[in-house]
Amino acid sequence: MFSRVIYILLLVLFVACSKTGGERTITTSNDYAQGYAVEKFDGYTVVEVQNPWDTLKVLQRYILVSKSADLSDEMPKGVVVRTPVESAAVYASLHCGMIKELGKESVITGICDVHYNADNDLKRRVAEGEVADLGSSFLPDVEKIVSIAPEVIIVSSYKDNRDDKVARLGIPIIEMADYMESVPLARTEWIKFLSMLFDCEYVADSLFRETEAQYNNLAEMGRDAKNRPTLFCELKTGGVWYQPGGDSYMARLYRDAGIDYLWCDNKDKGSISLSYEEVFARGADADLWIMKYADECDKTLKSLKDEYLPYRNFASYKTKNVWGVNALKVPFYEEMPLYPQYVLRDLMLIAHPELFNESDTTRYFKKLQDE
Amino acid sequence: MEITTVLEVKSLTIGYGKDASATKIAEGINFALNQGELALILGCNGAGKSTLLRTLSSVQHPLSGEVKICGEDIFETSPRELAQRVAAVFTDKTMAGGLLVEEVVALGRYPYTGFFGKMGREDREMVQSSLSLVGMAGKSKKYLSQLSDGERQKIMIAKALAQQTPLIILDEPTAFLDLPSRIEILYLLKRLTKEENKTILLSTHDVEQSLSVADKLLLIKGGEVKFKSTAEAIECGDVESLFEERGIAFDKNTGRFIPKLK
Amino acid sequence: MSRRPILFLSILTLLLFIANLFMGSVNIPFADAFNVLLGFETDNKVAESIVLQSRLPQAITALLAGASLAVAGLLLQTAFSNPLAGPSILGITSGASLGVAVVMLATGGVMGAVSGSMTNVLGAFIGAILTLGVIILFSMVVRSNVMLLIVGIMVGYVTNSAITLLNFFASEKNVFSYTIWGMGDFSSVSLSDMPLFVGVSFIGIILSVLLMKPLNALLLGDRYAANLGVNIKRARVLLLLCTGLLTAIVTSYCGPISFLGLAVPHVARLMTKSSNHHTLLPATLLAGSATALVCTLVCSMPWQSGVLPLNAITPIFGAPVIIYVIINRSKIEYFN
Repeated sequence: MFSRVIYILLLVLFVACSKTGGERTITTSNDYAQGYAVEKFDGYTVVEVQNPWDTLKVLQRYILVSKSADLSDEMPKGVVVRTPVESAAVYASLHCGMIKELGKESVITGICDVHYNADNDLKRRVAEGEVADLGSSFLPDVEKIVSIAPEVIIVSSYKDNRDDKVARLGIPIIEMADYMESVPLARTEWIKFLSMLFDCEYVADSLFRETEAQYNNLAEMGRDAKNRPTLFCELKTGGVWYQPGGDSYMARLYRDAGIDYLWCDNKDKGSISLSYEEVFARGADADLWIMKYADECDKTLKSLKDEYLPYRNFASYKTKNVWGVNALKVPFYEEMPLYPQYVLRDLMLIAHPELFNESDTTRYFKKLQDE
Repeated sequence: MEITTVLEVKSLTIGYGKDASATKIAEGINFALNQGELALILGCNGAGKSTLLRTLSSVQHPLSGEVKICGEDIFETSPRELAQRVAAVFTDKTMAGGLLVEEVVALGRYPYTGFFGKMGREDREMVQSSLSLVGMAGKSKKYLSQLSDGERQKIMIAKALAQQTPLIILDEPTAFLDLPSRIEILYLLKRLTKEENKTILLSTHDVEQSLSVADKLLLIKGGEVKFKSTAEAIECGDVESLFEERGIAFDKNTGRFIPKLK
Repeated sequence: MSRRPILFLSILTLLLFIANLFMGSVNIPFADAFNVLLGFETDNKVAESIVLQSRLPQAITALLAGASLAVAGLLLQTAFSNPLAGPSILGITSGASLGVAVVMLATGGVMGAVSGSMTNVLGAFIGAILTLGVIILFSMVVRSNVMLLIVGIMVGYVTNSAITLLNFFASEKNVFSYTIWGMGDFSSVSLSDMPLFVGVSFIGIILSVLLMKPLNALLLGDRYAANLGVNIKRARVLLLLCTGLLTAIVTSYCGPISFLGLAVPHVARLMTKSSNHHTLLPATLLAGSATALVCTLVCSMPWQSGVLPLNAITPIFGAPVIIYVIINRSKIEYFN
């Protein structure tokens, strides 16, 4: 017994001593984001990104050290990134968008999935050879990455999808698990992590504070709204009709907009696959129906009926209360992570028009026309 | 009994291809077979036996000349009518193992039945009598796959009989069979020419056995075709000369082929 | 003797069809469904809509699609004298898929979403016929059955890689819906699509029934069939058209569904104990319908959340049949 106490004491002493080199100065905790944590030490910053599929585990620990400072042996183990990062290969167009918002688009030296990227400016720079086309984000062109030698590679983390070939290059890989956050403002808050790479936290901070204030204002209005219309969403694909899970990002938005989402009792953070029957059994009398799609032409009530005749059986179809956002026409997915308040405002305009001026219009969503 | 000519072949040239690029296999073929005759096509492998049989059953067109069955040119007869004049038996592998014996024989009624192949009373009687003729009436409810090779060949002959044609052509009907079956088949064919008045033309490698049942011989050698009665062909040495180059002689007395002794 | 399996299959198909109307991922009181089906007034409007507009079309689709694919498989097996032939193994389904993918890309439509418009069916038909043509060309050179199957699988691979290439140029959304479409689904044919779907599959099925007589003769092989008066060329062209039509209509509406075409004719042969198309063809039609209806039922059992993809279920039924047939081939009549 006694020996065990000694042992523990020694252990504590040892841990305490080993910490002496990096005196902790500031610990910033995120207001919303669960997926990463920041600790600031004298001379360096530690960012731990959690494994979104196993939240007890750390996916990656980054040690951000200014280029002007020296590395010391006393820093904890982790992937060292020297800041400000001046060149980056970015896999996801969403992160390109975030970097652009930070005013740092010039650091992007290579991107993936060029034909899915909505940013024409970036596409032009790819065409002019200023930014490298790295191919598909699932199978990036390693040789191209080597040739542009970026300081970091910014990727969307996918479960069990470690790209060994890229990892072996020795270039720090920044795992962005922002899309796994199911709270809208939490997803937005990831811009702070990105900004630390480029030493422009003040830009991210003010951007985030503005979004937060606007979002929370609207959400308060939504919570207080008297009538709470019921809602279901999306369309049947093949035999399956996916609905967002009750704990998902979209479900949060619906709740904050003062909408009774029909599957809010569900505990899923992702999406749930249902059959037409199940959606109809619950949604037959729902007030609202909203859908996100990406088509050349905007959907209409007629095109819905042509697609699948039983769509017309929903009460919302009969009352023509069907709303759609055509992601091919509006930058919905591009703006949503940073500006969820715009989406929230749209949803509230749809669900509670009485709270707005008549001249107010939606930014993304359109009511489906007859034809 | 009046003698009728069933098969008539005039200045026929057989081969492959067309016009200038055509490959001739044999030319100047002339012969006629009467009702009730059994004729044998003899020749080495590659001599053109199969080509001749294919041409006679209208599967393949001749380079020139004409083939008449019952006085009508076979290449101007409709498939259905032709199927009522000449029936064929091959040794082809079939997918018919899952058909009953009587169903296989019933296929012989194909050129007589209507659009859906529905069998009338007459058709069914024809199937039964054909099976009786080949001695397989007792096996009509068996699957084809349950029969021995020899029995299957009899069923295919019964199918040909059910086709009610004056002429039956058989391409090596005794191949792959054991000795008793071969003899059985050959004597069955002989019986059919006598009892049913069928005209039968067959190719075979069982020359020794078949010589004893054949009325006429069609000898193909080096692109030349001779047609003679069996006795005459043996007498004048045509049978003997058939495999001469391969060092095989024919003993007229025993009716056997033997290696030539130096 | 051969009547009994047909009677059994008819009753089974009927029962399964009815079961599909009464059972699904949502529990509907039996009395309500019953009233809806008999046309009585009911307060349960949800039941009415689900039974009449979702379950009924889906059951009809499964009925016809199962029959169509099964009979297409039977025709191919007889035409190529190859008991392991089938629309998916010979790449014909992939050909039809490629046809649909080309139409989709050309018209900017979304795979599966505007499923089965006239142009889709036409695209699938042309794709299926072209693949069949290629297979027939190869079958003239390749005599061995197994080799021809391997050629078919290769043709399938080539068409699939063409589809993958097309997908590379399509939008992300299109790729997703193509993937979903590829899982197979009987629920996408709604009542408004029924006339075209039912019409074309009926034409194909009736054509196959009309081919019953030459099909039996073809069991003896081409040479025997020709001697029996079958116009081999015409019969082959008709068989090709019929198979192409049946595969195309099902594929364009329901996606590339595997195993039904390959396995069901064997089930029918084992049940009827016959290769005679007079009994085998109707048995195959019914067994195809019954199998498709069972699969639909399994896909939307109420205790699981959502619906399972069809192609996750069909191999579970199909593959064991094929393995059974291969292992027992020496004992099964039609292989010898």
